[in-house]
Amino acid sequence: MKIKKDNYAISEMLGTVLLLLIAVSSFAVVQANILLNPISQDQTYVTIVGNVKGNNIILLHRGGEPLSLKTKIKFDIDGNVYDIIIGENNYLDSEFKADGLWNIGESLIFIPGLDLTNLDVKVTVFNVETNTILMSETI
Amino acid sequence: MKKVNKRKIKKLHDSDEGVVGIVVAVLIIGLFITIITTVQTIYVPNWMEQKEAEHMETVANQFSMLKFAIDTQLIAGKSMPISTSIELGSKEMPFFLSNKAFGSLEILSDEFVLSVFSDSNGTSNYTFGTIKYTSKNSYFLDQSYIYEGGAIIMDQYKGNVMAISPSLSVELDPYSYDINIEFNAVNISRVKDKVSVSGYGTYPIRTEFSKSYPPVIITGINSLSIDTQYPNAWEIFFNQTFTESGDLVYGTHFSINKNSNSVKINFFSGTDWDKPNLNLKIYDVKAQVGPGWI
Repeated sequence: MKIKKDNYAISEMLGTVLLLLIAVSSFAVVQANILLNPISQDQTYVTIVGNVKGNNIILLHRGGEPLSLKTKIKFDIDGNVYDIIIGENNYLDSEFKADGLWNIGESLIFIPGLDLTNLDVKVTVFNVETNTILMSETI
Repeated sequence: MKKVNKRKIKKLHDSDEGVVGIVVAVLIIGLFITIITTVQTIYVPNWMEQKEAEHMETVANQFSMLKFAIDTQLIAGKSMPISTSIELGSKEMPFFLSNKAFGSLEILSDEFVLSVFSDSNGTSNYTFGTIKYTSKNSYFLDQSYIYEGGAIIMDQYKGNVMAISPSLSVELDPYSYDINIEFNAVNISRVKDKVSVSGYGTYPIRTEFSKSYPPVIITGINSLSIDTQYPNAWEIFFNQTFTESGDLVYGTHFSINKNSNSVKINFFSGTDWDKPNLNLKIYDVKAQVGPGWI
């Protein structure tokens, strides 16, 4: 009989249950609306256009954020795969490389040493700093 | 009395009623603050940068619509006002601390000068007005879009490119080896004081065909020079147009000199070919921005 009449801690339990309910529902809303958003890391907004001219592959930075010279590009030419780092060799003109970035209006030229006539060239540009793909196109 | 008070105080000190509730409340508030801080410092800047980058693409599309409207007016060749709109800025994020992006739209005069040098005509100068949008972003890098001489140029820190080419064609006649350049250039004229607007929101820009000047035909031009704030864009454009569509050879038919505010194309004659002929058509388009039309 004594136990039945005892109502100690009821308000605390109710308060705790209510707080937990509020917390769970709030985090559910935050999770559903915000944290499920695919942007969870640094994005690089850049426009790169590519074309094949003769046996040269030309990529032009057409605006957006400048890219590091560590940016990696993969060319898949009819099954032949070439990986390059844009700051190496003379893919970019030395004048363009002077500021340590690949900037708007600057062209990168890659000469694979193949006859590119009628070949599909798949170009994938990777930002190695953010581990993201910036471009993946067949030109 | 004192004994009773001491007992009461000791009882209060020993009491742990309500501790669970307080601890839970503190933990939940701490969790809330952690989540909100994470979202505010990591997610909000990323979202805002994406939003502003998307807004820049919207402006690019709106400028291509502006060019389309002007080209349509030139083809119609009569007074037919058309309004297109430019979104100056983008909104901030609801609920979180973030900044709006702003922008300005201006109609500028005497920004672009085309000079033609030839033995027959000497030097001829033509001055053009432009339309310029400049962003004032908080997260993404600032960019400008410019309607200049019939081209759309995108400019940002450390460079510029031509987003849409002007109406310029080059032909190398395969039999006579004559080189013919045709350039339809557009001058933007200001209408009274309706020349600039800045802030946030969508603003219309009204364009209206005014007149076209009789074509100027200059034979045997020695060089073409352009005074512009965007020499990189024009250099790339001329080089590509002359070599790819005109089949001209750099160093044989022409060369390009660029400096910080001008581009000069020098033409050479050879044993089989003369210096090019230029057919220049200039159109005048009136433009005004801001509410209320004059």
